[in-house]
Amino acid sequence: MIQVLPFEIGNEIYALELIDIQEVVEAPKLHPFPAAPETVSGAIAFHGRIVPVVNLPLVLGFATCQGSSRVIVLANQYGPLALAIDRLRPLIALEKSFGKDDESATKESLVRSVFASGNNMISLLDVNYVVAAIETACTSRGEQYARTSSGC
Amino acid sequence: MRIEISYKFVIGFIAVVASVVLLNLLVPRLDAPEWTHQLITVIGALLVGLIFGWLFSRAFTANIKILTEGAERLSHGDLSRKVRLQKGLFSDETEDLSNSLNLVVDSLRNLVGQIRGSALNVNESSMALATTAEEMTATAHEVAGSIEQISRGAETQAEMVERVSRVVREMAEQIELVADSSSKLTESAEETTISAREGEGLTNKALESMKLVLSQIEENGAMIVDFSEQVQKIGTIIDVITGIAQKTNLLALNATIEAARAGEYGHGFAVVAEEVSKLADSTSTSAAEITRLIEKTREQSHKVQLSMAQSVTSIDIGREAVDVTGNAFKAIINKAEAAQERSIDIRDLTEKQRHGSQAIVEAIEEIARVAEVNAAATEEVSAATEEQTAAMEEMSFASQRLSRLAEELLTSVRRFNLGSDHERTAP
Repeated sequence: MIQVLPFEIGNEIYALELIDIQEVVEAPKLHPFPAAPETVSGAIAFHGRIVPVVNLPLVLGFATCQGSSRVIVLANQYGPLALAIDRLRPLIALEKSFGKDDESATKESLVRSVFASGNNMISLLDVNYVVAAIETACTSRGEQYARTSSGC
Repeated sequence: MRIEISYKFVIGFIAVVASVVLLNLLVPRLDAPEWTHQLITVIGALLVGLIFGWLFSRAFTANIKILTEGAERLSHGDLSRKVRLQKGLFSDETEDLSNSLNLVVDSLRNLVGQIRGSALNVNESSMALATTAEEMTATAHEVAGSIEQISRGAETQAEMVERVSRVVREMAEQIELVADSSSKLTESAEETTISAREGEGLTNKALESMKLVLSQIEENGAMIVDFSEQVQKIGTIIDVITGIAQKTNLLALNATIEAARAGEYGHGFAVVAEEVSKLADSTSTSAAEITRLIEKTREQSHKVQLSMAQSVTSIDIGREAVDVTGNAFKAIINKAEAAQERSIDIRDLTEKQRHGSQAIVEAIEEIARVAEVNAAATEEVSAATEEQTAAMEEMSFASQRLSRLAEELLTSVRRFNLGSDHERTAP
């Protein structure tokens, strides 16, 4: 039995496993990062730490974020990182056997598996790939910024 | 000395006889033959007779001639001279005849003079009378014309008076109708005054009721405002509860996350967190329901406030209208009372008018009767004037005829020559 936290991005429903989540907090005032990539909306203060907030819809290829009042702070093993989503949905419990679906089930690397809940199709995100995609975006942006700064 | 003619012939005869006697006595004494004595006596008697005859016939013939001439002058109308006989020693009947003739002449002269004077006077008077008659005829014609005009005027007057009488009777009938209408008007004005007073009373009651309703609505409005404020406070509290529920839900979610991270050890905690989350969801649902009800209540109360504001506005308008109506009723009462007083005055005046019109009708009828009598009298006067005019014309013709007769008489009398001196004597 695993528990996932579904949330909406655009018209799609995604979910994260609870063990990958540190905490869900009210969306406080965002502090923008200078020269940050577009996927990083800003940073929040979380229990005395500065946690960057990633615009997950942009990472997933959606146009804009609708701006939810909740921000999902990922577990510590993924570094201090928070995800901005559109809207939270109630917790869902899945059978343990559900586990990881076969590799052919999803072509998309960010999605661990897809399961149905009622009439909805929910995509369970793989946090590692999400974090990697964010780091890639930040790295490319950092290199671009370094080139731009040295050029100046 | 007066000796009548017969006596004169007797005296002449006696003188002849005396001369014969005397001669018979004297002749013998003459120295004449005797045979001559008779002759001489006869001749002497003849001579005496001739002398006396000549004397007598001469005097007599002369007087007769004078008388004849006087009579002839008289027959020719010459009255200018009197018959004057020659003075003889012995007057006789010829003198009486002369005197009588002179008396006749005098009488005729006086008569003719009087006739002439009278004829002149008659002529003048008749001419004056004719002139006067003509003038009077003309005047009578004018009078007749005037009388005719007066007669026509009297007839017209009678007709006009008849028409006036008819009109006045109609007017009197109309005045009667006006009097009846004014009485009804007075009754209507009284009823109007009573109705207006009742209306004023009802208006005052309506105004008081509206004021009461308005005050109640104002109180209700204040209560609704207070209720809205209370509902607003409830909404605020519900917002707080909703926020608490959301935070509780969030806390429950985070507790669930912590329990999940705790693994098997956090199972009980997860159950509690789930129950807490359910309670928070239930609280949120209830709060949302309460919020929805509050929103509905707020909308309803807003509608009620708007409706009450409109009601207050309408009541204000109604109160103003009722005030205006009350003032209008007061004005109506004043007007109705004034109208009532005036209608009473009108009723009294129309009553007087009715009496006056009745008197006018009677007077006009009297005038009509008088006018008819006048018209009839004027016609009689006109007829009398025409008769008078005819009589005046006849009198004018008679006076003219009289004047002609006077002229004829004067012409006839002019044949008599009276002379300038009546005492002129015949030659």
